[in-house]
Amino acid sequence: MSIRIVVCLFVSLLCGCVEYHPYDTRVDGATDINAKNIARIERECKDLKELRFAVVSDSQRWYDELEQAVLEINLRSDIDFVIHAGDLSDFGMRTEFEVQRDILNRLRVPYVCLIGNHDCIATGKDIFAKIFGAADMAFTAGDVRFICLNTNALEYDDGSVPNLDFVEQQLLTMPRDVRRSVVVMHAEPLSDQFYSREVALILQQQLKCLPDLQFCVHGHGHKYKEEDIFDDGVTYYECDNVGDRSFLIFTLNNDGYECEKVDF
Amino acid sequence: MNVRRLTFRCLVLLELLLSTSVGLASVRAEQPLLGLRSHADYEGWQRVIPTHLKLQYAGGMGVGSVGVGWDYGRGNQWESDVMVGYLPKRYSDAAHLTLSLRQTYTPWNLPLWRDVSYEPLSCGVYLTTITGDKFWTREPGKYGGKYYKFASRVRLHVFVGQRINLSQLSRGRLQGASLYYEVSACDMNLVSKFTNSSLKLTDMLFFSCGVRLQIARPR
Repeated sequence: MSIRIVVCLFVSLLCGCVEYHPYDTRVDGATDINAKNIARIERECKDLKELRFAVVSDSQRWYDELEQAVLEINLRSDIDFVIHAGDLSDFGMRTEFEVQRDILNRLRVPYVCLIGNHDCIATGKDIFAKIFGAADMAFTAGDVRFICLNTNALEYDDGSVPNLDFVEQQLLTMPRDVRRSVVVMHAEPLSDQFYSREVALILQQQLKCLPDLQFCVHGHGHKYKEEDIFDDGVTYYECDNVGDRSFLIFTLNNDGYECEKVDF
Repeated sequence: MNVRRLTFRCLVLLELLLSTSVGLASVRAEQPLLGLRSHADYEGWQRVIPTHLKLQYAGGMGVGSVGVGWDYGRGNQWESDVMVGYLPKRYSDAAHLTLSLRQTYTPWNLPLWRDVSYEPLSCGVYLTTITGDKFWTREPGKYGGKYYKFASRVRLHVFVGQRINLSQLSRGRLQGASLYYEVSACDMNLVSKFTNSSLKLTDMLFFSCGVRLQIARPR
């Protein structure tokens, strides 16, 4: 009996060390991260009058810098949660997602991850879905509704992205206590990820129907900027890639919102 | 991940200790190289006949892979293999087949006891390709031809390992058998390691094992 236990232990130890293929979807460690952390964000931020969250983006192959960003965020006690705006992996391989997840798990505050275009390579979409969850998601923190959208249209040949039905559904089922909205995406609608300007315009019209849309924030371009890209009063903030050693902090309160770029 | 790191530390330490100490000892003792592979007298057309079969578990080539190979070189230290692997749907988006070309160098062979010998170091590289629409060799035209700049279908692995051999089996054409294990890493993970000091080698090293069956020369 004891020999059987030792053999089972040995086999399970070895099984944790094997790789069937760099693109296999056999995830080692925590899964369904976004759903667990969204529950925590909604619970911890429920009655907050002032929200403060950080946005990091494009950390593919910048493990050292992501670790440093996590340390910097952990040094602050005023941040409620963190949003990663996508591109955790460079090649869509399982180990990339796992290592990035393990670094982000060191955050003291909850975090959610959006899918980036690099995360869609090969079986990356499946691995992302297992580790983090659905590509489109929404949650409420205080009185703010956060809409996190998959905007990697070029990576989905079936035209299912951006998911306009998801935004429509959000508009129809908006919780009553929501007063304001923030939209987070990986690639902005006028980027190289969108096939047509027409789709970008339809998406923008939908987003403007959200309750008191404050701003949109995204990654992908690896260069911080603040721009009213449709010239319609909605500001799009582009977050640097983590490799440029910076992240954004947004503060929302009764006076409106502020954006701070933090270099580390 | 911690369990993986612990197991790998043990394996890598074992590999380093054994390959260094035993390898040096073998050079001093001037042991004959690779006595197991006594097919070196193949002549003419017989040289195209594979000299061994391999069955392997894991190693980035699928859950399991099978293949044939050829030994060559003055002491038969070199071997080349062609292997086909299977990755079932359970571990991916769909079932996939892999094709791998392997090159192995095994410098030392030490007799241990009677027909049992030990190879303290085998190392090499292998190139693996995989079936499936989601993988590309050249990125699709929609990206403009040079956006991602890599081939998701093809991966290059490097490995080190060890073997235990049993020769003189004399069961039909089966001349000998070897059990081996390898620790491997793929190209893209190694690229990341070189540019990130915080990355742990144990997060990108993976274990595989297999059996190698030596085929006797046809009569």
